[in-house]
Amino acid sequence: MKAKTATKILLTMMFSFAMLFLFVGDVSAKEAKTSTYVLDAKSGVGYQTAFRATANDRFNSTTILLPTNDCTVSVKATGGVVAKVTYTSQMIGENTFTSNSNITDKEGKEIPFKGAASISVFSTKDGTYDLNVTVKRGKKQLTKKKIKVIFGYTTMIEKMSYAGKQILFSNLVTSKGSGKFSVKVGKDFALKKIEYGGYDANGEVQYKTTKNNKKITLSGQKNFSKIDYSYGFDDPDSNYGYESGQDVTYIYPVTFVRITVLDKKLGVVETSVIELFKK
Amino acid sequence: MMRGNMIKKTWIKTAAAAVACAALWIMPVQAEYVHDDVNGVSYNDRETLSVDYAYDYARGGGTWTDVRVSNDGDTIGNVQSSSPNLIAQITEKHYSKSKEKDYSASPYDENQKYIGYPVVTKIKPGETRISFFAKKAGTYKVSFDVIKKDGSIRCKKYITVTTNYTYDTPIKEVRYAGKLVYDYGPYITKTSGKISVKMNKGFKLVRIEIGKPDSTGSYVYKKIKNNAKIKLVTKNVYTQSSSDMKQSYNALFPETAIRVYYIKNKDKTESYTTYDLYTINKK
Repeated sequence: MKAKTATKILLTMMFSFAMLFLFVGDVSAKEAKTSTYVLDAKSGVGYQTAFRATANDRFNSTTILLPTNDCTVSVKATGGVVAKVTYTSQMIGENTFTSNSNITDKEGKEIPFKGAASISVFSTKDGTYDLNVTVKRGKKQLTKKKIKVIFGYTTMIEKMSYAGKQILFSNLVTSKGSGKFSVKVGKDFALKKIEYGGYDANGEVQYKTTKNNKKITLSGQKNFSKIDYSYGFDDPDSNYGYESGQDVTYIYPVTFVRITVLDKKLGVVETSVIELFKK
Repeated sequence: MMRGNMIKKTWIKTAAAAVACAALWIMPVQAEYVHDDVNGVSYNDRETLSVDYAYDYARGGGTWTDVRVSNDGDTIGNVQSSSPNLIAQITEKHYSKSKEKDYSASPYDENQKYIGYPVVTKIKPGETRISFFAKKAGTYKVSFDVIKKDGSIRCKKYITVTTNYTYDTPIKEVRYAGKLVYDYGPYITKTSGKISVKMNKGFKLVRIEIGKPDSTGSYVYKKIKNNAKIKLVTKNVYTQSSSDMKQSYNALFPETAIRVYYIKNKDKTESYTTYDLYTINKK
């Protein structure tokens, strides 16, 4: 049980930081790309055209998605960057997987793949480098791709404030029921959209759009009731029904501010969510 | 040990940094989850939070505890804080409802007309969440009651809520090849060296174990002596097969796990801290 508490604290810490960089895939999907993954229609290979990485960090990687289970992937990097295929998977028989990488067909359905290869990269220096990736099927070259890797620290959101008070991390407890919300994004980013809203009586967040440096009013909704799971309960013909849910009462009601920015170097949009609590 | 991530959805640097910190796992001093079997109630009897912080998942508080009761019809209530500077409040009441036909009852009415078996709905209370918000730094006591179906009180329980995060630091230092393990960068180039551990006052070193991956990638631990010379893992290559897929791993940063087991003199509890030592394998 100790580990559980430790996890909770770590989670709390991670959450405060990570919320600033949290990536939500489905926002503004029609307006802008949310992922740099693309499909090379000719070879059937899925890959990331570009990605960001951190220097001196062991956790940078990108994944190549493969159309058959007999593909091999090799990589060479420019600028002294270490690049290596550290993981491969091959689906057996008729098995396939979908990649969660936003590679979809015209109907928006995820394209199934039969194999994958993860490339880990490491650099001690910041800078933009290329990964030259070769995909072979047997002895035959299927395709060759250039993947851009950008090493360097970037801040998506540089500064935020509500009612004159700076928001550190990703939340603020305030006694001001309304005030100006301002955000300043980092130099690689462009502000696309600001939305805000609180819960409705069913526990769903209702967002409305606002503009930078405009006055917003915080939600006062302290209570909601939410059904988490329901089966056959409202069906009078069903002999059996089960439902679970929760009644929620907040200490201080929450208002979410969802900020959508464009990563100008990658050409993708990302969102982060801020929590404001009305004292 | 599944270490390959199939898809890296995005670059969450800070999360990665947090993972790097987690490589050195320091256990916070926290109370165990308390199970009172006599009264049928379980909860955390100590919580820590930051002053003036609130989170959505803590329902507008800085942290929370989930209380569970096992006696039928019992509920949680009368939550009281020892100070107005700490708000303690029930923020979530979970429930489950079930609907079943009662086949033990008669499907006929008093005129012997078939009306079908009656449907019985049962509501069962689930866990109750108590959230806390600290207006000022301090140590506070929060009490709550377990209330029986008839409204009488089954028992009173206490939770200590503090704004001071306190951590045990059992291990004074761990050196590898003469250098503190923190002082190495993202990986170590010296593949063999002496490992030495020094404990802090109040803790006794029990044993040191070295973990290396076997041919299937699972880590196998072996006891070593303090100040022993060890060899680091320089290669971690393995495959895993199931009926629907084959996976191959070849780590760029093969890791050696050093587990330091110790006893806290005060309460004789044993735990361990893991130190991960990384090398680089470019092939």
